Amino acid sequence: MADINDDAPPTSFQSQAEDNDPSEETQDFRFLAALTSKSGQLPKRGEKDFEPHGTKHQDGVLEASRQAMHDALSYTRFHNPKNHNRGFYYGEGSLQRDEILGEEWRKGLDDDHVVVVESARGTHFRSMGAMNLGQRHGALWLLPEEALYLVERGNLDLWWPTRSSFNGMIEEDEEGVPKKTNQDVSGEVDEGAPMSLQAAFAMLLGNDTERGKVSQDRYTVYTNLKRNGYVVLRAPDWDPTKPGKAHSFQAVEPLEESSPSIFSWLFGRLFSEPEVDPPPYGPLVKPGMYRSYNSIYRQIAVIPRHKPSPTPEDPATSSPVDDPYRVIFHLWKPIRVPNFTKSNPGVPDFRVAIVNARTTFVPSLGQITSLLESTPWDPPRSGQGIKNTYQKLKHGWRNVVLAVIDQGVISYLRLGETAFGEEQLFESFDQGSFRGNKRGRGGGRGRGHGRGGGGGRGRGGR
Amino acid sequence: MAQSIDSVSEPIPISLVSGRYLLFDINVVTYLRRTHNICGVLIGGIPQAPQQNVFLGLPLELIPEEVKLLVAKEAAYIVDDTAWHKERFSTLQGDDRRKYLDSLRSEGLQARKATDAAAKEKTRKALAKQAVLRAHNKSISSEKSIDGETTAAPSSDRVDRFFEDASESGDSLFNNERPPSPEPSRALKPYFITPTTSYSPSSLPENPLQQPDPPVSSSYPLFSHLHSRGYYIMPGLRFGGDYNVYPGDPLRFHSHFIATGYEWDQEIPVLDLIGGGRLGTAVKKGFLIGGKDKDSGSEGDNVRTFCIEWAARKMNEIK
Repeated sequence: MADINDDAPPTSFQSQAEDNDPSEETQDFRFLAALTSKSGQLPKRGEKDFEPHGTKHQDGVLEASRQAMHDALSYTRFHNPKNHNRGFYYGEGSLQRDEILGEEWRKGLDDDHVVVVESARGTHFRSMGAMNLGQRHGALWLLPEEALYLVERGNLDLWWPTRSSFNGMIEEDEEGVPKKTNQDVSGEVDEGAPMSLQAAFAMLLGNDTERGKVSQDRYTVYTNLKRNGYVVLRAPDWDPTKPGKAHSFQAVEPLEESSPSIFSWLFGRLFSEPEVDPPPYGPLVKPGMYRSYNSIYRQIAVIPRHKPSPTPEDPATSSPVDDPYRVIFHLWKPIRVPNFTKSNPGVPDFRVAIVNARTTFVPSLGQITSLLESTPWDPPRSGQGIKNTYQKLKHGWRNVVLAVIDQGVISYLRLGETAFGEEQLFESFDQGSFRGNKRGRGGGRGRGHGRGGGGGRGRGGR
Repeated sequence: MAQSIDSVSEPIPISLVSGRYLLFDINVVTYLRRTHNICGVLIGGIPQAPQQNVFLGLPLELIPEEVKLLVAKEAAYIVDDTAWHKERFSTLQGDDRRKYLDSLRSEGLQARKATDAAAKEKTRKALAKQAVLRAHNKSISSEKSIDGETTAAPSSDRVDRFFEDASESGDSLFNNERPPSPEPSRALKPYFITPTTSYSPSSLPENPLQQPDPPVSSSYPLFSHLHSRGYYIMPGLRFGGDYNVYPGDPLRFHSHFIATGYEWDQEIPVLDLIGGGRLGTAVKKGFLIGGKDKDSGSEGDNVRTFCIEWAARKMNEIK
């Protein structure tokens, strides 16, 4: 046991600043009030004790913390009539959606849409759910993760249905069936019964292969991102039972396609030296007189380098995306929320794959390649100078975010298709503008706990 | 729920949903923390502060080791929650059902009353503030202050509308689809309630005789050994071990050890010891290893533990 008064190791100051992530440790709920009040400040850490020393003061503080936790968590979700959204659950163990909703009315719905919302009020539904088509009044249907998130948040009152629960359903029921038949003894309309939070978890969490369920791993990532304000939608490769899309080579709009100017096109060709074929033996650099670094470096560039391409030349080598290394969610930044429309979401800002830290291993090159190739071509902005070089390397030519989850703790890593061979540093040697940069080793910052930190991928030599 | 933790009685039902062990009742959560030193991990959101990930709420997830320990103590039992809810939905009829709905209604009425009282209080304060403001500055003739004059003694009708206008958020897209309310709108209507847990003292699920055995890791003997010594134990991922071991409730104390369990005869790579020892020392915790001697016939749980501290990188740094 290290003594507290020990001299801190020299790195501890820096790492403390970096690792100060309040979501990492057990929080003292006495500070929740500070968070919910207008100041919105996150509680500071390090306000704990080393060990119990049996004083009344310490016992009192612990008791206050426990009481605060109990009070905060015993909150009951109630629904003000003004913003009461009621939903009905038509999944496993309840009435079956497909028995109630004719096939032509299910258009526009996924098999997993198992919760129908009676009256969708509020801004959440701008980025959630889908309308079924074909009915006179289309209704809004939610996916399991959307419904569960809203129940958890206190924005959805989820009910077990009865046959007559949802008037959108019975409205076009067979003729002869009177509306609202199920009046019970007290003469009240039987609309079903409210589901508890526990019931919602029990019915909506499950295996991703089951219909109308979401796995806890995916749900945890979903809620974590939603709580941070992102718009989160399912990606096309969601369903693990269906083979993933092999590639999507459609390019996103090129940001700045650098077409060479006429000048550089003409003179660049004139002055550039032809690619040299290295001799099978003997010195790589032919003896002679050299006036530029360029001509030397060209001759010693013998290792083939990875060159990113919008359409990989050899699709045969890359397999279709493999579970779990496939894109599960598309993300849009919180800033996009006000203008977001479900019908036209636009190009997502991030693509997220989800892996479980306990059951999956580090991906193979083939898995990463097919995962990256399932994302669109997203080249870095072109630009000159050493600063741009690092930006380009970090951005990569394609990218995907990996959410690694273990017992509810999520680490996000960004994988980028990085091409070190595209950044030819020696070209600037001759201009005399290059200053040796000692930090220039390696691509990504390899922080152990990469909250958005980088892990670069360098295929080929560099 | 208004019940206190006194209402908790053992054994406690633990919900098993898609392979995870969850608790939904805050009284049970508090009870386990106080009585059994079991903390679990909160995984849900808090409706009071929904757009953050710092404070999390119910449900509470228990790791398999915690569940196995509680089941072995006969303090808890495991319930297949999906099956239980399926059955409950199909059998929720007649009296049971009416009781359930009535209890929700009375709770909803309470919530309504509480909110109304809070709203009235808020309005009263706002009006008082306005009155003071008006007294100070008579020249202001905005619409609000006129409104304030006429409501010197606010009727409950006005108060309600005042509050509801203030809390109005979002637009109603499908207002026309709502069934017409059968009661006159002015009567005090209970709020709709989403209860947190499905169990109530009268409807606890049956304790099955055959308990599914939680799939614990091989470090379980170390876990139960440390737990029996009064330590609080949390999952150890954050510091790279099996468990984080706390001298008291993690709400109040920093952890003392990063613990990793080994088999008695297992070869331990020296790199593991160096890595764990260095990490533990760097975060000011002890790196603790332990395992169970399966062959020893002596009393007790036969678990032995060792604490490893990183001394120095070079010989001359050792103090």
